[in-house]
Amino acid sequence: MRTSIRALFAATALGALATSACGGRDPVWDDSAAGQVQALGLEASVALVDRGAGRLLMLPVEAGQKLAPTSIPLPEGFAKAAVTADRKHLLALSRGVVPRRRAGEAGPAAVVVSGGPDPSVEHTFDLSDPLSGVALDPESQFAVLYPTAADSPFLENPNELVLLDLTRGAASDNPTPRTLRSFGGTPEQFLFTPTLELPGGPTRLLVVGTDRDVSLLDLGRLSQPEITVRLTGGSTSVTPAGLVVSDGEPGKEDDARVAVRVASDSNVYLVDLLPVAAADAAAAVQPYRAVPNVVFVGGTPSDLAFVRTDGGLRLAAVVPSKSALTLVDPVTGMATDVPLGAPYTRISLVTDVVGEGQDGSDVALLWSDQLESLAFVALGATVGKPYKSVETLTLPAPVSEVVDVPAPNRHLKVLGAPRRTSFTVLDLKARTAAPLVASATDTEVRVAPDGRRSWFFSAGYGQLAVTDLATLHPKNFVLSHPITDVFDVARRDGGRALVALHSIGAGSVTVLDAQSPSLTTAREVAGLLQGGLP
Amino acid sequence: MNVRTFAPLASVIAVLCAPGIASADRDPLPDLASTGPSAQVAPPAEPAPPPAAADAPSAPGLAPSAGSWAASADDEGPAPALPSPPAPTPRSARPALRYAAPQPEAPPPRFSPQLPIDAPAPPTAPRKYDQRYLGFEVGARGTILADAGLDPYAENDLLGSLSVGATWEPMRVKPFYFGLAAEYDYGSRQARARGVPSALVVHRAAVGVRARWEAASWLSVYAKVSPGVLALRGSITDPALDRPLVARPITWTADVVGGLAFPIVTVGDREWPFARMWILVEGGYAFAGSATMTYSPIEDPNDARQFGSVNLPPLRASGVVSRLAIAMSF
Repeated sequence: MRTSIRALFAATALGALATSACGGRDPVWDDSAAGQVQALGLEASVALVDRGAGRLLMLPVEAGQKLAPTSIPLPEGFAKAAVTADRKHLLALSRGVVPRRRAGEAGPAAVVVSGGPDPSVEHTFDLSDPLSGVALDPESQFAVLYPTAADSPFLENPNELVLLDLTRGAASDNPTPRTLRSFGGTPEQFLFTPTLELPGGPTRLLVVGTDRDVSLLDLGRLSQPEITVRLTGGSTSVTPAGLVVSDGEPGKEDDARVAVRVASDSNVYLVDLLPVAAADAAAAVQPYRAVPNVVFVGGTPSDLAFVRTDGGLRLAAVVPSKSALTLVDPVTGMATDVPLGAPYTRISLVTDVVGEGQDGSDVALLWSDQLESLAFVALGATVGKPYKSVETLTLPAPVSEVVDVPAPNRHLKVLGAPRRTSFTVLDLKARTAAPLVASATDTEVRVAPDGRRSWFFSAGYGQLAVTDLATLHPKNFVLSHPITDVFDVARRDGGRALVALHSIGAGSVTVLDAQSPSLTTAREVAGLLQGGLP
Repeated sequence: MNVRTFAPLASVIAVLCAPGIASADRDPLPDLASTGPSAQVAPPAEPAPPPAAADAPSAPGLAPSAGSWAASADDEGPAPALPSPPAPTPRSARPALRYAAPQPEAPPPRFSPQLPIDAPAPPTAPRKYDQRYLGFEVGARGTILADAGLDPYAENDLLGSLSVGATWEPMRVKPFYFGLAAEYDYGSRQARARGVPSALVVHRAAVGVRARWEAASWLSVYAKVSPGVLALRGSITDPALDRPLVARPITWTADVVGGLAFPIVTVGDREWPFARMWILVEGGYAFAGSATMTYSPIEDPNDARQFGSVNLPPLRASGVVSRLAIAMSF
């Protein structure tokens, strides 16, 4: 019996040892998923940035509103994610392991993920320093990375930018680090231009506005130094508020211009991109030179646009203090006011929708978040009788948000009221304004990328509505849980699906058939963030 | 071997088997008083030690010297006609049949119904009554599941189970015993998975083969291979639903274990016990198939909504296994 007790004791000790040797679980399961997820809509999937699990949970949708979740690991030290304008790619930035003490530890990186029906990592770029600021090219080719306060390294160069060409993989010239020549300023605004006809050939520019200068980087010739134009003299600083660019007249290489609007300043800075004189060609860093000019517009402009008028190219400055649209001849600097009758603050060209005038002139749309009206300005009648060029349309509410509608309904714009309790569907061709009234404040609108419908929801409520943009017939639904965001994405079978996210539990969504929405065909999925983990 | 301990039982058997007491379906025992060895067997040549049965009350009509003969514990059926007592083969020219008085340490002679009365069988060792070769076990089983599939349901890798089982050892080549072992285990874990309550219940049923070596009176060593079925039931109580998400996969399992059995309690005679209680300590490895943990809500006929499913990490319940159990064998 004594031997038995000894053996039993030994067995118990072994069992206790085995128990104590049990390992813990992956910390991801201890992380509470709720409230940490950023959602981004891509072309054919929804991306959930699951930071706790260090992954992107991509949600493509199959027929029958079935999700096909795919996990894509995020690089260590995730910092930020953004979606390109065409929604075909997602760019994720990471800072890596900080501090990085071992060679095998991850460093800063940028990852490009495809947003199609089969999401995957397309490109990975190693970065030399952690950067979490990103500006994306509206043509979805380039991204510029820059440091922000959140990166907080011991020492940083705020004028050092990293340019990524998202359409190709890592190479010796991709990414391209560039340090802007600075006169003490730091980058505050970025503008990717369309292709400009410049001396030296067509190219695209990255215009970087700082608090005292403007830099022009040639995206087609990144190896060439940039051109920096000082906006102020001495130590005076300005706050860039807006950048616009014009290619000038088609076929001409010497009339491209950049205009800079600065805060609390009645002057607009015009930078002409002119050919380099033959005598200076050898010393020039670019085949063009930047010539700055200052134009007085009579008041602080709230918005700028280059427009074509019956008198030629003009810089249009919306000056609310004058309730006028000031048209500046960029060649002579002469300014002409078009009275608007109201202090509109924003301008947008709608020529491509409503059609240009007989003389090739533009049509501009002006609005304000303080006015219950908007104005169409036909810029083909600005000379002589400019007051005849303005047509006003009364709205149910002021406009705080203008949402473009893609084709085939590009002639429509969805206008949101300040408290977003109502919306107006503006028909640019018919010049009508159809109101849509919501019962809740802070109602969000999402226009489907196929341009056929718009979705409305209010964060924190389960109500959802869809409006057919052809008929403006609303259809209402009540989902099982409060909605945080909705995304209209392409399905794998060619249809479209609406993915409504709920902030409850460990990731919950409701998927509807976007083209024929109905709760009878909708599918709810709960516990999404628990799925797809290793 | 102390045959005196069987004297009372022998007496009882003798009483039950006596004419007029034995039931109708039993063969009546012969009257030992008249047909006992003294009437057939020559008296011993040497004085025998006092018969052990003399210390116990004897059945009426039972010759004291024959008490130990009739006391075989293996006599489970109707009492056969008493054969002649065993007669060792003489090496000398002594009489062919002699009465061999029972010795205190000698195995008791055994009756063989197949042998004719006039052809006495040689004495054989009695079977131990401690083994009807059935055993029943209850205990605790622990499995170290290093598989990541357990992580959603447990904060460590240990899966504890309540374990019950039964064994049957029909094949015996002493000191080795071979038989079958049936087991059922019930284990569960629960935790919070990403902030949501989660639970896992594991049912395991297996039938395997077991080989046991009775290494000593206080120790048996055994090995066991037990293929079986593993039924898992995972549940997640997500607040997004009014009922839990569940996954119910079934997969195969097979245990390969070795163990030690320590007898701790004996019921009945120490040498010929009626039952014994054991402590079993075993360890080994549990193999199992990978179970796909696909979660979807419990069906509700009153809910017209359609639900999607979520795949949690697959669970392979393989790992080092140990078990501590109490067994009762008969």
